[in-house]
Amino acid sequence: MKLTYIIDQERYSIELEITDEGYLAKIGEKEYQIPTTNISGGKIDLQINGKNVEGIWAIDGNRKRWVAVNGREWLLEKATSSKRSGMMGMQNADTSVYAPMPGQVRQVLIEEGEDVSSGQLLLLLEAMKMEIRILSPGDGKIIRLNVKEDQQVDKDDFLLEIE
Amino acid sequence: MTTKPPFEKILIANRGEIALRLMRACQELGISTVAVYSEADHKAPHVDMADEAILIGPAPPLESYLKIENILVAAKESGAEAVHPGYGFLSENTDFAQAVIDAGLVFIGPSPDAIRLMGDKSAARQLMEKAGIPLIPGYQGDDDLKQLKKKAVEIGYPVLLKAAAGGGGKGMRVVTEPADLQDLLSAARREAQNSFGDSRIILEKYISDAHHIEFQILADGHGNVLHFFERECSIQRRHQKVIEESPSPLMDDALREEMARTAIEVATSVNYTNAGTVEFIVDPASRKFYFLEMNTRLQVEHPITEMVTGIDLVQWQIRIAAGEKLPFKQSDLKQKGHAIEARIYAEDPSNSFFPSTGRIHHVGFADGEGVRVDSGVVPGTEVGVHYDPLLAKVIAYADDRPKAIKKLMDALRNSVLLGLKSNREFLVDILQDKKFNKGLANTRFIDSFFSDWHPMDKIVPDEVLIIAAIAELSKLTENRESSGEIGAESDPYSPWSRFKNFRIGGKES
Repeated sequence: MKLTYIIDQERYSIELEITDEGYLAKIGEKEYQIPTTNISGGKIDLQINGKNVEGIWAIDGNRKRWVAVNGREWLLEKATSSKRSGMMGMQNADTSVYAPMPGQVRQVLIEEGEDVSSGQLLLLLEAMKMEIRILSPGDGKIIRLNVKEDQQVDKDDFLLEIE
Repeated sequence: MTTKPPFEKILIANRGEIALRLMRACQELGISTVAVYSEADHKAPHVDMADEAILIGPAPPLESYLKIENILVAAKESGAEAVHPGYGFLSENTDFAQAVIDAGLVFIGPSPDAIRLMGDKSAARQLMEKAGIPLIPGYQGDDDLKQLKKKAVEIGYPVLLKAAAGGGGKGMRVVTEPADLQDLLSAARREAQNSFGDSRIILEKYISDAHHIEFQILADGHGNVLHFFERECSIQRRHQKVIEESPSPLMDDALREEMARTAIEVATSVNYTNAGTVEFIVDPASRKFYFLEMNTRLQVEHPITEMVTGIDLVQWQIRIAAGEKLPFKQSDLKQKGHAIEARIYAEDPSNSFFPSTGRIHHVGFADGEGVRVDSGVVPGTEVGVHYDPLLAKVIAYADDRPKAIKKLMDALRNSVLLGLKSNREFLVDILQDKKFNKGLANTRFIDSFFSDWHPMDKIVPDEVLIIAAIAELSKLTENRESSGEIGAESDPYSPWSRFKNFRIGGKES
């Protein structure tokens, strides 16, 4: 089974095979023998090339995966064939603007068709009583406005597009 | 308990970790507890812990936790004799305190008059000025742009815009140059209006190297006003505290004594009763201190005071409200050892501290001697956009500051929280910082040194992918009900030594 995960916008692939002894994992050029595994209630205890490793994991919906190991927590997104990762930050290169956090649209300061300049205040979002200012990532024209005032948005929801 | 409890039944008008903390004090005093909850919280831990729980409305706070009528109906229905507001929500709302009293119940907190006097920041300033309390140069009055512009020049930039009705960092903006005033003023006004229903703004001189140091007060209804020493709360982001400790590394005995005396004067000047906190700004260069505000409620960071003094502040809040007299004198109180608290927030420190939401899949706080965890989440808890992002507080106590810092760092390192981004790793990095360890961190510390923080090591260890893939595969095989041939069988005796002595959701597991 080949799996691809996105972590912090980078793609990572792993091939995992079930063998007579346990698992064989391939990551790039590297191979790992994993003879013993205990999985119970979100905890995992395994041996990777002779080294004992303890981790905690959670499956969160269709695509989000969580792993805690060696004192750190990681959010992985299971990649699908489509290109857009869905976990991009607030402004990506093709000047679509996504919500950086879940919340409510407090104020819309621009209209569709309006010319905007870099750094201009476009929208105000509010969540947990915190206000976030969505600024224009560049100069251009608002070609799509996908939200209205008072609308509830989720993290990474598409807000608007600038040409 | 052999003695009669101060009350039979108390309603807790709050949620999250503080509701659990208050209920624990009630249980220790032999008092039954009533929880109130919104539709979003029907499975929340505070609902489980209470002896009874009453639904008070939909998820938005204005329709539930801030809805005075609904809370009073719940109090009447349950037969509670007293109401504890916790912090946030209605804790500093004069109308609520008065309504509780008018309903024939006891409000566990100060009098509505004291809340009103201290709650209006400009009125409080005027009052303190009269009482001879040192104040930061500032201005309150007509707050139109033109007037504020003029006053800001008189005071001298940088200046701080603050909500006249505010607290907790809401509606605050630092203005470094005149050109920014207009924009930041409208943002502060909007936030003030949304948070407090009052858009009035006051001005203050901004002291850039300032330390934030506060004194805990307990006052009974018999004229005893005592202080419980200081808390250093300089580690803040967006004017909200992140790490607090007691004693303050800045303090010496002379300064402590002078500030404590002033704090008691502040409390006495408004006939204060119950628990309160007098906040000061301290300029480390001149060692001058200025009154900032008085919070007329229990503070989030109260546990560090409890650990260095050995006094349970919540129990005493309840007992004072029942009319009891404080049995100790100022000279009986000692500040022993060092306590330090870290607040675990649902936020992403590598992305401007934006709030994060999600369902908690796994939570385990490392426990141990001298470590206290006040948590409000358990596996399955949904962390949504409606409420404060504080998930838990981890507090460490030791003989001295270096040991307490080390203990807190170890506890945070060995804690796990899966299901949303938290600031846990960020807190560990702060605790490792040289400046912080020298006790030199001021209120601009995070903005200056940690504003574009990222986890130090960006390399993803192969173990992460291996665990994710095996978990994925085992989940698939489990779903197909295949046997445990591939080693995916659960093992109840699985060794998990590092995470022994787990405390889940503040209870011993």
